[in-house]
Amino acid sequence: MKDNVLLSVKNLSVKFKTLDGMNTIIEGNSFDVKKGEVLCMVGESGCGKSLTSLAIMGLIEKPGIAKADEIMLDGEDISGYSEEALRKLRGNKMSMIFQEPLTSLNPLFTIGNQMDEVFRLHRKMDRAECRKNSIEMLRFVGIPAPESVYKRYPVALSGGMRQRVMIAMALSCRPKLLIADEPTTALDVTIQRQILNLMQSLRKELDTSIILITHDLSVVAEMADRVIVMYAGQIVEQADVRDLFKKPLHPYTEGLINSTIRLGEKCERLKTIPGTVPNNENMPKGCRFHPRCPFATDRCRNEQPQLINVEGREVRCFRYEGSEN
Amino acid sequence: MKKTKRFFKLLFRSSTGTAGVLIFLLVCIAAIFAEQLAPYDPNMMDLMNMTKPPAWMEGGSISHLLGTDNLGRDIFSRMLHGARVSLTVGFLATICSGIVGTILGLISGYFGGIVDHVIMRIADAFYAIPGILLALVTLMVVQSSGIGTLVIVIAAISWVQYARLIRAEVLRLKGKEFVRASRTIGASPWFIISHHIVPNVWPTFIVVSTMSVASSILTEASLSFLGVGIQSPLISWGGMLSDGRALLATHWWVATFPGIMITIAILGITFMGNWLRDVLDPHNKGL
Amino acid sequence: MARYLAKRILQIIPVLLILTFIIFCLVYVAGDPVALMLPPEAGTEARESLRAALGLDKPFHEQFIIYITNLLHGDFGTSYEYNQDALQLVLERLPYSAQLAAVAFVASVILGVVLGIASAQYKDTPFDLLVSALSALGQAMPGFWVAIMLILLFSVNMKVLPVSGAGGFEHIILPATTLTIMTAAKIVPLIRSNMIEVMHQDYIRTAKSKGLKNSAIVFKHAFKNVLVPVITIVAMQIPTLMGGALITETIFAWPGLGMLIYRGVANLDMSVVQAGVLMVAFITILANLISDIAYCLIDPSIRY
Repeated sequence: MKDNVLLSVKNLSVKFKTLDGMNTIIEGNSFDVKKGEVLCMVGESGCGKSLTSLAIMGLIEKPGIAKADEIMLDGEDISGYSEEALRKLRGNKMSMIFQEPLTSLNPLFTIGNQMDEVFRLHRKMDRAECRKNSIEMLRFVGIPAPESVYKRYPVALSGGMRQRVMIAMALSCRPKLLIADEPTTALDVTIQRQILNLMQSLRKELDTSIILITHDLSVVAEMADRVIVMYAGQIVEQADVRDLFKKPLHPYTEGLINSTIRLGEKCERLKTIPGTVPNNENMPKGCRFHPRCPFATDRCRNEQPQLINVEGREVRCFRYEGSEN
Repeated sequence: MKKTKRFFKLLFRSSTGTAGVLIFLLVCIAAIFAEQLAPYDPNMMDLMNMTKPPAWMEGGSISHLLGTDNLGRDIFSRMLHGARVSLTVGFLATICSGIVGTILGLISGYFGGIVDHVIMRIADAFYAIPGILLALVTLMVVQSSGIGTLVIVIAAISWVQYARLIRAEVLRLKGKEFVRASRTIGASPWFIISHHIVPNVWPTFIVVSTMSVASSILTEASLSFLGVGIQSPLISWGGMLSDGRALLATHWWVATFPGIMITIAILGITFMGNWLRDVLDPHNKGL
Repeated sequence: MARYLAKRILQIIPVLLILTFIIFCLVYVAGDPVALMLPPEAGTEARESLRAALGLDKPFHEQFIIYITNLLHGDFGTSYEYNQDALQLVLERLPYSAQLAAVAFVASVILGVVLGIASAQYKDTPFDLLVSALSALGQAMPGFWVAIMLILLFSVNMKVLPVSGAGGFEHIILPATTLTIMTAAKIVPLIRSNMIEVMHQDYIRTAKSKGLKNSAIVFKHAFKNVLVPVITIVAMQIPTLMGGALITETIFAWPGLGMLIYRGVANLDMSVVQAGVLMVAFITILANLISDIAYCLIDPSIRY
């Protein structure tokens, strides 16, 4: 394993047990996260972005089952770890923030109470130390009057403030990896900006790697170092952010980029990707994107493309066969 | 045809649902064909065969499957006839309370304001007195027995359940976009209630009704047990139990079997209700 | 919060008024107590003067006003059977009922919370199925039958517990068990489903992502949240408990309120009946109010 890689996931799949048997949602995905980078995962809702991140955290719940050949986090393979061992890593070496700041904090406990838990659990601090550190963290994420917020209940805070609290809580133990699952989707645009800026600056300060899950390409453009594009449970493209926007390879990526408004460009009608995401019970044969792809051929309809290396990036499409390196 | 098939598919998927529907059907058959099925006249006294134990015990005989009571009446035959009374009271009381409670719930929930306050305070008052207590006092005071009185009294104590649940459901629906949209295009309250509210309240109504049949049967049994419900010569499970209570020390079966019968019937109806609740829930993928 | 509670307390007044009206109607329909109060050989004149003294010759609405005024003065009438003030009689019997209800209440809440949470935790395991089956059975069995079967088992066959009456600790076991079975059977499935719902909330996922132990998640984060519906559920059982107490008390000859009311009904001693019913209703209303206050204390969003 290369020195600068923090997290390396090999062949991760997530399946769900249903009445009709096993239902595979995520299939054989592999990717790396480098130290200190922001990796964005994009894709339409239901494509398996969130499940991928939950699988890394070991938080897939029954009837779901996550399996991977290897999940190397900072030099240890956590794919076979027991619940107890994973528990010690969560909130400590890796932590996660969620989409819904309004419901992600327990309404019946004070902010301080919920912040303290992390320090008490992973750092074995006493009450006074917990309090001191929690207030310090609240200040660190830019919450005004942290001493007073510490004593408040979540209901007294706005969505943006609650997301800041979530970030403070997630970063309390200086995790190596922070997974942010659509952290700004539920927030106002101005607040979104603040939260993204906060994450950027904290990353530099703490040298934390971030997996940022989003469906918003403007967030990707602003935050990402590298991008993974997912479609129907599979990674379809993986590239540096500049390359991706400059020259999207996979037709789906192209469609995604074309369907966003760009300033300064004359545009009569916003392009959309025709069709909808296939549902899990009837995945199309062959390439999963072929029913919506303008370039689909007979081969696409029958054969599944593999991820191939092209110009230092990865893409899952037959059109680039032969140009791999 | 397709719908029937789907219904059975959904039914057989749930084992408790299947059991519930089966038990319910059996009780219905017992009630309808009590005369044909019962081996004896339920009120026929047989002084030669008093307090005979059930067939499988010493001294019992196959001619009286579940034994006889202290007047020599066949317990099995009496239980079949008791099913008739229990189901009649259960259904009639449910229909009465269902109509009253649903209408009050719809009005209360849809129109709100002072009407809502008045109806809900009356409901609160009824709720504050345990139903069985109110029914007991009322039946004693009016000094009239018979199925009609009993049905009205049970309905009077059980409409609150309907009114409250239907009201809550209406309040929930009132906030929904399709009702607001309907109002913005000028639909009349009557139109909104009949086209948007009622069809959506329907599942709640069905589930509450099933549960209400069960609780009405239980209430009837309790009242008959206390001696103010069904009177002889009509037969009720609760009354049979009351007769058997005095014989408990010597002839346990007289009080035991009617109780088992009540339990099985209520269990069946409850299972059916739970299954209906799961199936009729629009969030459930079943339908 | 103060405003919310003030509103709730104000709502009680019309409820109490409607209640007394319902009870007054029953007393009115019950008819003339004079016939029961005077010996059969008393003359028409004596009857008329007693009717006038009791205000029974006045029209319906005037009688109602007199009735309410009397109630407000603490005058609930006199029991002709016991020849005693009805309210006093009720208050004498109340401790017995309270004792029985308290034991059953505490036992069913403990049973309900423990079994409800445990079966939610072990959802779809044999344990969960067993608990669900038992609570379905407990709800389906009529209370009076449970009482009789308990007597059959423990008093008649095993001869370990007394059949009826009040006295030592052993007297309360059977009636309290009957009531507990009836009440706990209703509480368990409700707590189970609420617990399952809470465990799917976002903040539980947050707690897991923090690395909290499962026990901390269940007993701290989930429990306090499930407490809010539990209080409502438990308060909802008060009428069941009271109604169940009526039957249980009569079967076990437990000298409580239920027994008193039952005897009163049987003898058409309406003063006792109305005093008893009003007392039961009052306790129910009070219990609901207390549950509302508890609700306010737990949930901070009501306070804001």
